[in-house]
Amino acid sequence: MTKPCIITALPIESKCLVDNYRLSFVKTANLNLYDGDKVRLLQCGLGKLSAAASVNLFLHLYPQTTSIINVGIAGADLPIGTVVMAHTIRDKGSNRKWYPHLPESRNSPKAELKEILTVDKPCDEYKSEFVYDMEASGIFSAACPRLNTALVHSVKVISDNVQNSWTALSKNKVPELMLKTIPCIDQLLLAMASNKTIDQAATTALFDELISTLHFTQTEQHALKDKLQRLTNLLDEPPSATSLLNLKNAKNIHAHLDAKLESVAPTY
Amino acid sequence: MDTIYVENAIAHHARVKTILTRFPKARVIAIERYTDVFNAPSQNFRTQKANPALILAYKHGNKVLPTPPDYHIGGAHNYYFSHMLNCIYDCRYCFLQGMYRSANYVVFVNYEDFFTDIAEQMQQHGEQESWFFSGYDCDSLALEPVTEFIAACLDQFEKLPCANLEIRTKSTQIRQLLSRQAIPNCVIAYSLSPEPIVAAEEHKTASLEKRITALKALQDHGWKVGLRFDPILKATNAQALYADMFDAVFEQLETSKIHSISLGPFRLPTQFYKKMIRLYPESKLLSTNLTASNNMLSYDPETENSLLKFCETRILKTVKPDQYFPCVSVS
Ligand code: SF4
Repeated sequence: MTKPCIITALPIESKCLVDNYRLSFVKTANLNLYDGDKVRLLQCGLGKLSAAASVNLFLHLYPQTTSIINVGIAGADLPIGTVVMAHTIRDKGSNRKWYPHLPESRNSPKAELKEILTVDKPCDEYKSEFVYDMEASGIFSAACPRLNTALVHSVKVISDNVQNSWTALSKNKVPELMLKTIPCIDQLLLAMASNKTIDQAATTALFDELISTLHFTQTEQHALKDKLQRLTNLLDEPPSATSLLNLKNAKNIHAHLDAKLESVAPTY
Repeated sequence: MDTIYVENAIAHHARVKTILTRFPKARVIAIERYTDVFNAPSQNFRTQKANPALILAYKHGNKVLPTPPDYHIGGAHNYYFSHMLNCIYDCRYCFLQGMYRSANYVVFVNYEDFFTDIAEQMQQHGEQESWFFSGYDCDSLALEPVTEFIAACLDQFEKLPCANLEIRTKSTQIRQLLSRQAIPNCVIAYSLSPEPIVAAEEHKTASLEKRITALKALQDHGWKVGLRFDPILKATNAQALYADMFDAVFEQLETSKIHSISLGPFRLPTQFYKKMIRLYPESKLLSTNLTASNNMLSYDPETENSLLKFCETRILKTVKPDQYFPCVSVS
């Protein structure tokens, strides 16, 4: 089923989100995955490599995932508990960058926009231009080839700063901080859901019927899908399955569709 | 415009400051090079088109380039330049959708460097006239209230009598043109299509009627105007559509004073088309049968020729042959 997915690194970050979205653990090989009515949650482990591997496998198993929000704690020169959303994700090691396409302001969460710098190990550096984390670049590197940059975002809550080192962070404090990200996640989920998808259900059903009844090579299937969609657009309805099936084989069907496409044009 | 990326190198440029003051609520994000954002992988043109960001950048390298061979209106030396990449309009046939990964708008703020390059190109041809086309990778006037590029450009062309400027547009933002004196070496060229095609395929653009009204106002004000019937689209009712459009246009303009009319077929590089149909799988226009030749897709030669022939005949009934510049030969 098509659903968005929240990605956290650690169980301590996941707990309040699992409760809030009423998620249940799903037994999946090599993944810590939770599922619910409207959203999934993947717990990808600590560090960008683990995050990339986990997201890769997850998107392989759930290719219909509609969007991804990386949520977690992070360090920055900001007050503890500040919720930020990434306008840029930069990998410190490679200097590779990603720019999530931000939702319209009026649909955007009320969170400060910051550049997230993904580092390989926890650090005590808190430059004012960065928010420091350890997973975002791994998540973006795995997610962005499959989902476009309007559909992958990162939301962090500040857990440590110059005055409050990460070494002193109490585990009890993390769920309390993570709770603050929920309005931001909800708003982002809403904004991303408004990205319209094109309804191709009618042609997909016809295509499935044709290829399950008659033999089409891979290349013929590819061309068939394209021609059915184009003809459906031009005729405002899909061609009849019965009349196509009556043509008995792939070659005849293609010849028929070619002739039809040749003869139709839009009317304005 | 609620997100504006600004290259660090131009953060203090006066023009950047002026543009930013127009969008006080925008989220301003500092970047190193515009290409980092604009050419980044995994962008979706269609999704971004709903909410494009503005990128303010500095144009390095060549700013003025020779036009493709068919792109001219009778001049011998033809160049184009783009102070902006992408367009606020959303024409389903627009090649920019296939050419760029991003639908964000890029505005290059170093206008003076464009003007220097234009003057240098012009000087290469001595006393001979050269033509400079604006609006190749964007619509020249659509974002003028924000960029004020054309205003600055006209100030320059006023001083370059051997250089001619074509401002290609579908925009009716002409207040600024009407508030200054027309200059003889500039043509304001409108792309025109029949109203039902405007409504169906040229999203967010001004209606045909509004474009004609703008043309008429510009003509009355002394500006040279050009008409660009490009691309001519295939339709079951094509002849009726185009006949109505020509009637409407020629009825309202002073035809003997039209500087130039060009006529162009619907053509797309194959690679651009492939990307466009993936972005808009439901598009009727992109669903019509197209024929491939030399990495370009177009209607089959017979259909294309008959569409162009019909239009050409109607055009030449009204204007003189020396006002007419077909982009391809019509047989
Ligand atoms: S007005 Fe021109 S540049 Fe703009 S979308 Fe339409 S065809 Fe493209």
